[in-house]
Amino acid sequence: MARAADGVGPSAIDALWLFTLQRIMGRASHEVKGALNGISVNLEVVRSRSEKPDVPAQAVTKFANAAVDQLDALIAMTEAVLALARALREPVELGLLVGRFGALLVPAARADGRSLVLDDSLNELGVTSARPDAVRLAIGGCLLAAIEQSTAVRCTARATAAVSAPSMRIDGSDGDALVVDAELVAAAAGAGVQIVAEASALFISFPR
Amino acid sequence: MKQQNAKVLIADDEAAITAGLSAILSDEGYDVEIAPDGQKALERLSEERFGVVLADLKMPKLDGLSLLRELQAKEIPTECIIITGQATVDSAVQAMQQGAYDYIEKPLNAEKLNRLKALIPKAMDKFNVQQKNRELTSRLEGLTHYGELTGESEVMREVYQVIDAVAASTASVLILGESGTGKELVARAVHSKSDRAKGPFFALNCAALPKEILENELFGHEKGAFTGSTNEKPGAFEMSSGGTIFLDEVAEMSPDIQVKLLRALETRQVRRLGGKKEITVDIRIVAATNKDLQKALADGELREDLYYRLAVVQIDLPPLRERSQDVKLLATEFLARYASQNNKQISDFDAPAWDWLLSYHWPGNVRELKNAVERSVIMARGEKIGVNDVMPRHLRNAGEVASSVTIPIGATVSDARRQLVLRTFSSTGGDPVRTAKVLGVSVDEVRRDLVSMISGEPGGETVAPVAAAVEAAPRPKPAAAKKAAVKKR
Repeated sequence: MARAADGVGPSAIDALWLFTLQRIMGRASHEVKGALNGISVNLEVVRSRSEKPDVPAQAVTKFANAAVDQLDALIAMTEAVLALARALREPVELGLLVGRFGALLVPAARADGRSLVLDDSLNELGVTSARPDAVRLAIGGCLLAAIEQSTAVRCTARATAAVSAPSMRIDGSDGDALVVDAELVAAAAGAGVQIVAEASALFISFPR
Repeated sequence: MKQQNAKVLIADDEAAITAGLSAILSDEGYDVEIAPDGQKALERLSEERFGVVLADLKMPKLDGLSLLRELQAKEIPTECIIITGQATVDSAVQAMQQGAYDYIEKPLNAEKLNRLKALIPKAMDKFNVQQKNRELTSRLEGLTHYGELTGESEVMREVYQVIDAVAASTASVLILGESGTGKELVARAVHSKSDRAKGPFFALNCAALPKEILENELFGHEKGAFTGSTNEKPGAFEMSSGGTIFLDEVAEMSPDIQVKLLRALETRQVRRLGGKKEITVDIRIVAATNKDLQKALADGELREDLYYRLAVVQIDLPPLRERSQDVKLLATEFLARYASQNNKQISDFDAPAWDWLLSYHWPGNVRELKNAVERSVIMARGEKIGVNDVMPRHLRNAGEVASSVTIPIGATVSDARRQLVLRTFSSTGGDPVRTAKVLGVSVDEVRRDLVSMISGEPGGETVAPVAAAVEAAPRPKPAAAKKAAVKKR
């Protein structure tokens, strides 16, 4: 169960974030490499077939399109890695940040036979004035914990921009209680981000 | 190198890669199928033969290494190339140790794909060769005869397999084996299974002929080549052209003839004695020797260059003592053959005869067994051949008797005791004192047992040498010794 604690400083958040980011990268690396290999292999098909005379266009198009799709996926993952790894600006756009995690974790979960669904309502969350590093740690840590503990995870917004305290809900599918590391909860709480675990759901509340 | 109908299975969960890889390999002429995980791959490989499987190291359900382990455990024939994104030395070494043909590291860039394209035909070649061997082994399994050769032992099946593989080629064959193992039969099998089967088979024993005559036999001569050569005579090389020439005891050939033979092997041309014309011959040479080749080479008795020319394929024919499971099959065949040839109603060997046949070490190999059976058929009086019919006289006289005693169910303890005493007595050369020592009984007890057999008490059994020995011993009564000449069953 999650619990809050006071007195956790930025260095603790940095250390926890580094650990969290490493685990996210560990899950996403297979997908990044997969996209790179896919692009390489499909372009090789395009190249070798293009060198042959009388090869119909459709024999090449399919693989060129596949390479383009893989490049798009790779761009999304690369942008997510770059955005998550650098310092965030205040105020944090919550929907955008959740989307960055999704770009890495949704395909990684799928590759493991799991699922992570990010509801469109998350785009309505708006911004938070909480410290960006704490917000990033809270969202990333909770999504990761949910994926590791449940085979199907769904993330929805509990409040819209109209509500004073935006919050999000992460549901697991298996009925088991989702557990978040106490240090992470404490670190987030120190920056005003509340994490509460109830049954098979996690709730994260951010100060407006 | 494209190989038509060569099947490749791609076992990888990444559809983005497998579609492209499949297209690349299809363009190379392979029949490609995709399995989205290790378990599916295993199922497909169990159902159908794929020459090569490209397996990703990291796959759902069954990873690449586990798939390799399953393939080994289930003895599913295929060559596995592991594709790994985690190219650690450990995983690569592990994959190779578990029987992977090779491994390719990701990312699959153009260079790696070219390497893969070069690897697959080689792996496919290996698969095809092994597949052929498997088919051959399966065909030879259960085979008891091959050509004129008889044997169902593993070592003989290996010999059949080599003959089968080499027969179709024109490669020279060197057969190594002790005297009497059937080297000429192997040579005949090589000939009869080859495309030259309709051509002549010419066998020459190099040890049996003096140097000059051997040279004349091999190469022939022109008219007037030497005193008394009133006609030209073609040699074995010419006469066996289009067929096979078998040179037995080749290591006994003189150095001069070895040089000429080497030349004939290299040029496929021979010159008759006294002749000037080179005659082209189309021959396949099968040679044999019972000599220790390493010693013959070291001693300079056999030229090394000739050895390498002759031993393109070497067949090691095992001595009979190393394929003792074939003795029964061979003895039964020889028995049937010689009983028929001699018009005798002999159905089998009796139990002691079988004991001896199966325990004897047959230094003269199959030839000795054949002669022993032929002799025993001629000598036998009843429907079954006894141990004394089949055992050569010199062994009987030397006291070489079966080292075991067969006691049939139903025999009494006294019978068993007498049998044991008798056999031990025979094995000691008729020495009652040594017999007593071996058996751990008194000399008197031994004598009593022997006398009871001689006097014809129930269960008594003896043979002439025993009678003589007992006679020579101080105590037995002369009257009893006379009765010992009658063999009792």
